Amino acid sequence: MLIRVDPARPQPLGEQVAAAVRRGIAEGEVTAGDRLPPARELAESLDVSIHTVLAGYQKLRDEGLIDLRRGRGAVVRAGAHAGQAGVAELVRGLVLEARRFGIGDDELVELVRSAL
Amino acid sequence: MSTCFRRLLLAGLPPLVAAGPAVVVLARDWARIPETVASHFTFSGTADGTGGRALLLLLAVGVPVLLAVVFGGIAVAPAARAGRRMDPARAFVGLSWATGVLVGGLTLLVVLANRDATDPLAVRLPGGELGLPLVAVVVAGVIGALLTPSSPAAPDESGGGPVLRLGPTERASWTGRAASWPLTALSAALLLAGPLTGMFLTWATGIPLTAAGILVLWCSAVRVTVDERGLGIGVGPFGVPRLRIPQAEIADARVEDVAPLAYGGWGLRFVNGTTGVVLRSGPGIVVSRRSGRRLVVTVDDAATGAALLNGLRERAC
Repeated sequence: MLIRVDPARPQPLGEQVAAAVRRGIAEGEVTAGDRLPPARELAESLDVSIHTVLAGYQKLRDEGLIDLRRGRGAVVRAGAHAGQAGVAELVRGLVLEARRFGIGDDELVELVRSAL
Repeated sequence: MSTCFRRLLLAGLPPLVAAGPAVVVLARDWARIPETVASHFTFSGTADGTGGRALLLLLAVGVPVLLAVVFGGIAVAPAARAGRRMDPARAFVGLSWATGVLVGGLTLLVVLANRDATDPLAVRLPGGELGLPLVAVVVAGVIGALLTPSSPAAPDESGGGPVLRLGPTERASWTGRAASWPLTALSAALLLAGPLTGMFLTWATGIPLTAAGILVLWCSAVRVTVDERGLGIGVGPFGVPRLRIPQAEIADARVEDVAPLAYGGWGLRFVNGTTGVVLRSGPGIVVSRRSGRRLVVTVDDAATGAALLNGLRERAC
């Protein structure tokens, strides 16, 4: 799986790591049961702090895309199918766009609710 | 510090640093330097030309600054890109160090010789000391060349493999895996046969069989990593042992459909100049090293890995 991050972009690096993994799941590059690179190795590889990578992985766990267990590392969850990662990635995009145009977080939640 | 910046310093600074002693002596003893100085010498060290003392300033300050700009500029210019085998950038930094020491050392000798001189044409350059500067020049050149990080090699004439272009500050890491089904099956058989042999026949055979099973299982999968550092191949669940090829040594990466029999079978192979980590048939990354050696590793999604290697090399200074 290819993970690209760029310190010049406004998003935090951890969020960029998460986005790259989401994309990997959405495009079927990694599938349920696949192991993500160990956080320490990925951090050394990208020359970022291990906390940055862990922040990204924790975000993915909170979204239900991966399991994160001490000793076993990060594993793509059985329930994490491509569609779910795709939607999560779209939501991140939506939030970024909204912030870019100065739409407040509460306002955005209202907008989404009204569309449901 | 980027390789580019380091090479700029390595090539640009030496002429300035080497001029330091002459500049210090000139600044401190300016009053003791005569109006007219010996500025040109025969090979034996006797003066045969004179000039104003401003000439010494030009020699001590102007020439080193010019050298620094020229050497520094060329060292980071894209034209200084390395060929496949040779790395002119290193030779070039060596040349900068040697020239810097030569100019700085000679200037110092000329300044010292002219100090307190009454007749410029009677000034003698200490010829006997010319041997020592010469040794210093050669030593400085070699040290400079050795300190220089090698530059990425240009791809070979056939055009090179796929390229994944990266932004100037972008960082990328690619991980790919390859597992060998024959080896996994073999290890499963050994891990089953070992304990059974031990229990029903003799542990003298059972223990070695089990150990072999664990070893084969360990070697049945590799993880390949491509990033700024180059290509890394880790064997087994913890990536140990690990093979590494530094980015600067990689001339080109491409994808090949690997047929294990072409490398004499599965496993770690050494076939005429090629190292192979062949776990299965199918796509693999083929890395051409600057030394002319090649490395082949079978891995899933080899195209992305090879393209990233080429992208990193193109972006490197």
